[in-house]
Amino acid sequence: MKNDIKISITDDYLKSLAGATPAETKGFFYERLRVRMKAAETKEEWLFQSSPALIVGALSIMLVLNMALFFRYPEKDKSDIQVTLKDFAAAYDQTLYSNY
Amino acid sequence: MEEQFLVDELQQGKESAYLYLVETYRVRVFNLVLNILQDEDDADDTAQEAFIQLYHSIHQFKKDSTLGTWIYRIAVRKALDKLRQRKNRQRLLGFLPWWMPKEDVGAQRDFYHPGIALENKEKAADLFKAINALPEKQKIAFTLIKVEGLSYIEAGDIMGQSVKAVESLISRAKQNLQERLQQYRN
Repeated sequence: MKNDIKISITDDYLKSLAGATPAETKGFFYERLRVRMKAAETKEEWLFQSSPALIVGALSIMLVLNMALFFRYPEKDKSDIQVTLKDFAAAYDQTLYSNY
Repeated sequence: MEEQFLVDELQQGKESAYLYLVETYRVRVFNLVLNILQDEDDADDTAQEAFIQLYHSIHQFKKDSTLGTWIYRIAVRKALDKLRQRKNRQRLLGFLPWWMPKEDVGAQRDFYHPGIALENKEKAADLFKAINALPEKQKIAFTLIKVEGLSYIEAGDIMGQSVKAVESLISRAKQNLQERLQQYRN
Protein backbone atom coordinates (compact mmCIF):
# COMPACT_ATOMS: atom_id res chain seq x y z
CA MET A 1 0.00 0.00 0.00
CA LYS A 2 2.80 2.33 1.01
CA ASN A 3 4.62 1.45 -2.23
CA ASP A 4 1.51 2.25 -4.27
CA ILE A 5 1.37 5.71 -2.75
CA LYS A 6 5.05 6.21 -3.54
CA ILE A 7 4.58 5.10 -7.17
CA SER A 8 1.77 7.56 -7.56
CA ILE A 9 4.09 10.36 -6.44
CA THR A 10 6.60 9.55 -9.21
CA ASP A 11 3.83 9.23 -11.76
CA ASP A 12 2.36 12.48 -10.55
CA TYR A 13 5.68 14.24 -11.17
CA LEU A 14 6.02 12.52 -14.53
CA LYS A 15 2.68 13.99 -15.56
CA SER A 16 4.31 17.42 -15.44
CA LEU A 17 6.27 16.41 -18.56
CA ALA A 18 3.13 15.52 -20.50
CA GLY A 19 2.49 17.81 -23.43
CA ALA A 20 5.97 19.28 -23.27
CA THR A 21 7.12 20.64 -26.61
CA PRO A 22 10.64 19.76 -27.78
CA ALA A 23 13.22 22.43 -27.04
CA GLU A 24 14.81 24.09 -30.06
CA THR A 25 18.53 24.32 -30.63
CA LYS A 26 20.21 27.70 -30.87
CA GLY A 27 20.00 29.33 -34.28
CA PHE A 28 22.10 28.32 -37.28
CA PHE A 29 22.88 24.90 -35.84
CA TYR A 30 24.07 23.41 -39.12
CA GLU A 31 26.12 26.47 -40.08
CA ARG A 32 27.82 26.52 -36.69
CA LEU A 33 28.47 22.81 -36.98
CA ARG A 34 30.13 23.20 -40.40
CA VAL A 35 32.29 26.09 -39.14
CA ARG A 36 33.36 23.98 -36.18
CA MET A 37 34.24 21.04 -38.40
CA LYS A 38 36.15 23.27 -40.78
CA ALA A 39 38.07 24.86 -37.90
CA ALA A 40 38.98 21.43 -36.54
CA GLU A 41 40.23 20.33 -39.96
CA THR A 42 42.30 23.51 -40.41
CA LYS A 43 43.76 23.11 -36.94
CA GLU A 44 44.70 19.51 -37.66
CA GLU A 45 46.34 20.50 -40.94
CA TRP A 46 48.22 23.37 -39.30
CA LEU A 47 49.47 21.12 -36.50
CA PHE A 48 50.58 18.47 -38.95
CA GLN A 49 52.45 20.96 -41.12
CA SER A 50 54.10 22.97 -38.39
CA SER A 51 54.89 20.42 -35.75
CA PRO A 52 58.02 18.97 -37.46
CA ALA A 53 59.32 22.50 -37.95
CA LEU A 54 58.60 23.34 -34.32
CA ILE A 55 60.29 20.19 -33.09
CA VAL A 56 63.40 20.71 -35.23
CA GLY A 57 63.57 24.38 -34.21
CA ALA A 58 63.22 23.60 -30.50
CA LEU A 59 65.85 20.85 -30.69
CA SER A 60 68.27 23.16 -32.53
CA ILE A 61 67.91 25.86 -29.89
CA MET A 62 68.50 23.31 -27.13
CA LEU A 63 71.58 21.98 -28.92
CA VAL A 64 73.07 25.44 -29.40
CA LEU A 65 72.43 26.33 -25.74
CA ASN A 66 73.98 23.07 -24.57
CA MET A 67 77.07 23.60 -26.68
CA ALA A 68 77.42 27.18 -25.50
CA LEU A 69 77.19 26.11 -21.86
CA PHE A 70 79.59 23.21 -22.37
CA PHE A 71 82.31 25.32 -23.98
CA ARG A 72 81.93 28.37 -21.80
CA TYR A 73 81.49 27.25 -18.18
CA PRO A 74 83.55 24.17 -17.19
CA GLU A 75 86.93 25.91 -16.64
CA LYS A 76 85.41 28.96 -15.07
CA ASP A 77 83.51 26.82 -12.58
CA LYS A 78 86.66 24.99 -11.42
CA SER A 79 88.58 28.23 -10.85
CA ASP A 80 85.59 29.65 -9.01
CA ILE A 81 85.61 26.73 -6.59
CA GLN A 82 89.35 27.02 -5.94
CA VAL A 83 89.08 30.71 -5.24
CA THR A 84 86.19 30.09 -2.92
CA LEU A 85 88.08 27.43 -0.93
CA LYS A 86 91.14 29.64 -0.59
CA ASP A 87 89.00 32.53 0.55
CA PHE A 88 87.27 30.33 3.08
CA ALA A 89 90.58 29.07 4.51
CA ALA A 90 91.97 32.58 4.73
CA ALA A 91 88.84 33.95 6.36
CA TYR A 92 88.92 31.41 9.18
CA ASP A 93 92.71 31.38 9.46
CA GLN A 94 92.93 27.76 8.36
CA THR A 95 96.10 26.33 6.89
CA LEU A 96 97.07 23.06 5.43
CA TYR A 97 99.92 22.39 7.91
CA SER A 98 99.76 21.45 11.56
CA ASN A 99 101.91 22.31 14.63
CA TYR A 100 101.67 18.78 15.92
CA MET B 1 14.58 9.71 -47.76
CA GLU B 2 14.99 5.99 -47.25
CA GLU B 3 17.46 5.07 -44.51
CA GLN B 4 19.58 2.72 -46.62
CA PHE B 5 19.90 5.36 -49.33
CA LEU B 6 20.76 8.02 -46.75
CA VAL B 7 23.48 5.83 -45.21
CA ASP B 8 24.96 5.14 -48.66
CA GLU B 9 24.97 8.84 -49.48
CA LEU B 10 26.57 9.65 -46.14
CA GLN B 11 29.26 7.03 -46.64
CA GLN B 12 30.02 8.60 -50.01
CA GLY B 13 30.54 11.91 -48.21
CA LYS B 14 27.64 13.78 -49.80
CA GLU B 15 27.04 17.05 -48.00
CA SER B 16 23.34 17.19 -48.89
CA ALA B 17 22.84 13.86 -47.10
CA TYR B 18 24.66 15.16 -44.04
CA LEU B 19 22.54 18.31 -44.02
CA TYR B 20 19.40 16.17 -44.26
CA LEU B 21 20.59 13.95 -41.41
CA VAL B 22 21.40 16.91 -39.15
CA GLU B 23 18.09 18.62 -39.89
CA THR B 24 16.16 15.39 -39.28
CA TYR B 25 17.80 14.42 -35.98
CA ARG B 26 18.95 17.82 -34.65
CA VAL B 27 16.01 18.46 -32.33
CA ARG B 28 15.76 14.87 -31.10
CA VAL B 29 19.48 14.66 -30.31
CA PHE B 30 19.45 18.08 -28.67
CA ASN B 31 16.48 17.19 -26.47
CA LEU B 32 18.00 13.89 -25.44
CA VAL B 33 21.28 15.46 -24.34
CA LEU B 34 19.41 18.39 -22.80
CA ASN B 35 17.43 16.00 -20.60
CA ILE B 36 20.62 14.26 -19.54
CA LEU B 37 22.85 17.29 -19.04
CA GLN B 38 20.13 19.73 -17.93
CA ASP B 39 21.96 22.71 -19.38
CA GLU B 40 21.13 24.31 -22.73
CA ASP B 41 24.64 25.48 -23.62
CA ASP B 42 26.21 22.12 -22.77
CA ALA B 43 23.43 20.34 -24.66
CA ASP B 44 23.98 22.43 -27.80
CA ASP B 45 27.72 21.84 -27.62
CA THR B 46 27.31 18.10 -27.02
CA ALA B 47 24.75 17.69 -29.80
CA GLN B 48 27.25 19.27 -32.18
CA GLU B 49 30.02 16.98 -30.93
CA ALA B 50 27.72 14.00 -31.53
CA PHE B 51 27.09 15.06 -35.14
CA ILE B 52 30.81 15.61 -35.72
CA GLN B 53 31.56 12.15 -34.34
CA LEU B 54 28.82 10.75 -36.54
CA TYR B 55 30.33 12.39 -39.61
CA HIS B 56 33.74 10.86 -38.91
CA SER B 57 32.49 7.39 -38.02
CA ILE B 58 29.70 6.86 -40.56
CA HIS B 59 31.83 4.18 -42.24
CA GLN B 60 31.70 2.16 -39.03
CA PHE B 61 27.90 2.03 -39.10
CA LYS B 62 27.15 -1.70 -39.42
CA LYS B 63 23.40 -1.54 -40.09
CA ASP B 64 22.72 -4.01 -37.26
CA SER B 65 20.62 -1.28 -35.67
CA THR B 66 18.67 1.63 -37.13
CA LEU B 67 20.44 4.87 -37.92
CA GLY B 68 18.34 6.60 -35.25
CA THR B 69 19.47 4.16 -32.56
CA TRP B 70 23.06 4.56 -33.61
CA ILE B 71 22.83 8.36 -33.46
CA TYR B 72 21.20 8.16 -30.03
CA ARG B 73 23.99 5.86 -28.88
CA ILE B 74 26.63 8.37 -29.93
CA ALA B 75 24.69 11.22 -28.32
CA VAL B 76 24.34 9.34 -25.01
CA ARG B 77 28.06 8.53 -25.03
CA LYS B 78 28.92 12.17 -25.66
CA ALA B 79 26.56 13.30 -22.91
CA LEU B 80 28.14 10.85 -20.47
CA ASP B 81 31.60 12.17 -21.43
CA LYS B 82 30.38 15.68 -20.66
CA LEU B 83 28.99 14.59 -17.29
CA ARG B 84 32.33 12.96 -16.42
CA GLN B 85 34.20 16.09 -17.49
CA ARG B 86 32.00 18.11 -15.16
CA LYS B 87 32.65 15.72 -12.27
CA ASN B 88 36.42 15.77 -12.86
CA ARG B 89 36.42 19.53 -13.02
CA GLN B 90 34.44 19.72 -9.80
CA ARG B 91 36.92 17.34 -8.16
CA LEU B 92 39.88 19.44 -9.34
CA LEU B 93 38.26 22.60 -8.04
CA GLY B 94 38.27 21.00 -4.61
CA PHE B 95 42.09 21.19 -4.62
CA LEU B 96 42.18 24.94 -5.24
CA PRO B 97 43.19 27.06 -2.26
CA TRP B 98 40.40 28.96 -0.53
CA TRP B 99 41.47 32.35 -1.89
CA MET B 100 41.21 31.36 -5.54
CA PRO B 101 37.93 32.01 -7.36
CA LYS B 102 35.92 28.87 -7.94
CA GLU B 103 33.49 28.48 -10.81
CA ASP B 104 30.07 27.06 -10.14
CA VAL B 105 30.72 24.00 -12.29
CA GLY B 106 28.50 20.99 -11.81
CA ALA B 107 26.72 22.48 -8.87
CA GLN B 108 23.11 21.43 -8.55
CA ARG B 109 20.99 24.12 -10.16
CA ASP B 110 17.30 23.91 -10.91
CA PHE B 111 16.72 23.06 -14.53
CA TYR B 112 13.67 24.56 -16.16
CA HIS B 113 13.01 22.74 -19.41
CA PRO B 114 12.10 25.35 -22.05
CA GLY B 115 9.36 23.22 -23.59
CA ILE B 116 7.34 22.60 -20.42
CA ALA B 117 4.15 24.51 -19.69
CA LEU B 118 4.48 27.27 -17.11
CA GLU B 119 2.12 25.65 -14.57
CA ASN B 120 4.24 22.46 -14.58
CA LYS B 121 7.66 24.10 -14.49
CA GLU B 122 8.28 23.80 -10.72
CA LYS B 123 7.18 20.20 -10.56
CA ALA B 124 9.23 19.29 -13.62
CA ALA B 125 12.26 21.08 -12.13
CA ASP B 126 11.93 18.92 -8.98
CA LEU B 127 11.67 15.81 -11.12
CA PHE B 128 14.78 16.73 -13.13
CA LYS B 129 16.65 17.48 -9.92
CA ALA B 130 15.75 14.03 -8.59
CA ILE B 131 16.72 12.38 -11.90
CA ASN B 132 20.05 14.19 -11.82
CA ALA B 133 20.84 12.63 -8.45
CA LEU B 134 20.38 9.09 -9.79
CA PRO B 135 23.37 6.84 -10.55
CA GLU B 136 24.57 7.21 -14.17
CA LYS B 137 22.95 4.11 -15.73
CA GLN B 138 19.65 4.58 -13.93
CA LYS B 139 19.61 8.18 -15.05
CA ILE B 140 20.16 7.26 -18.70
CA ALA B 141 17.60 4.44 -18.65
CA PHE B 142 14.97 6.57 -16.96
CA THR B 143 15.57 9.51 -19.29
CA LEU B 144 15.37 7.36 -22.41
CA ILE B 145 12.22 5.52 -21.39
CA LYS B 146 10.21 7.80 -19.16
CA VAL B 147 11.25 11.21 -20.46
CA GLU B 148 12.05 10.51 -24.13
CA GLY B 149 9.36 7.84 -24.43
CA LEU B 150 11.51 5.16 -26.07
CA SER B 151 10.73 1.47 -25.68
CA TYR B 152 12.70 -0.86 -23.44
CA ILE B 153 14.13 -2.58 -26.52
CA GLU B 154 15.31 0.71 -28.04
CA ALA B 155 16.80 1.84 -24.73
CA GLY B 156 18.55 -1.51 -24.38
CA ASP B 157 20.00 -1.16 -27.88
CA ILE B 158 21.24 2.35 -27.16
CA MET B 159 22.73 1.44 -23.79
CA GLY B 160 24.12 -1.91 -24.91
CA GLN B 161 22.08 -3.69 -22.20
CA SER B 162 19.51 -6.45 -22.25
CA VAL B 163 15.84 -5.60 -21.79
CA LYS B 164 15.92 -7.33 -18.40
CA ALA B 165 18.83 -5.17 -17.30
CA VAL B 166 17.01 -2.03 -18.43
CA GLU B 167 13.87 -3.09 -16.55
CA SER B 168 15.94 -3.59 -13.44
CA LEU B 169 17.54 -0.15 -13.86
CA ILE B 170 14.12 1.47 -14.25
CA SER B 171 12.78 -0.31 -11.20
CA ARG B 172 15.69 0.87 -9.06
CA ALA B 173 15.49 4.37 -10.53
CA LYS B 174 11.81 4.55 -9.60
CA GLN B 175 12.52 3.50 -6.03
CA ASN B 176 15.24 6.12 -5.68
CA LEU B 177 13.08 8.79 -7.28
CA GLN B 178 10.13 8.02 -5.02
CA GLU B 179 12.25 8.52 -1.92
CA ARG B 180 13.71 11.75 -3.19
CA LEU B 181 10.45 13.18 -4.50
CA GLN B 182 8.79 12.34 -1.21
CA GLN B 183 11.44 14.45 0.51
CA TYR B 184 10.80 17.36 -1.86
CA ARG B 185 7.08 17.14 -1.23
CA ASN B 186 7.45 17.20 2.58
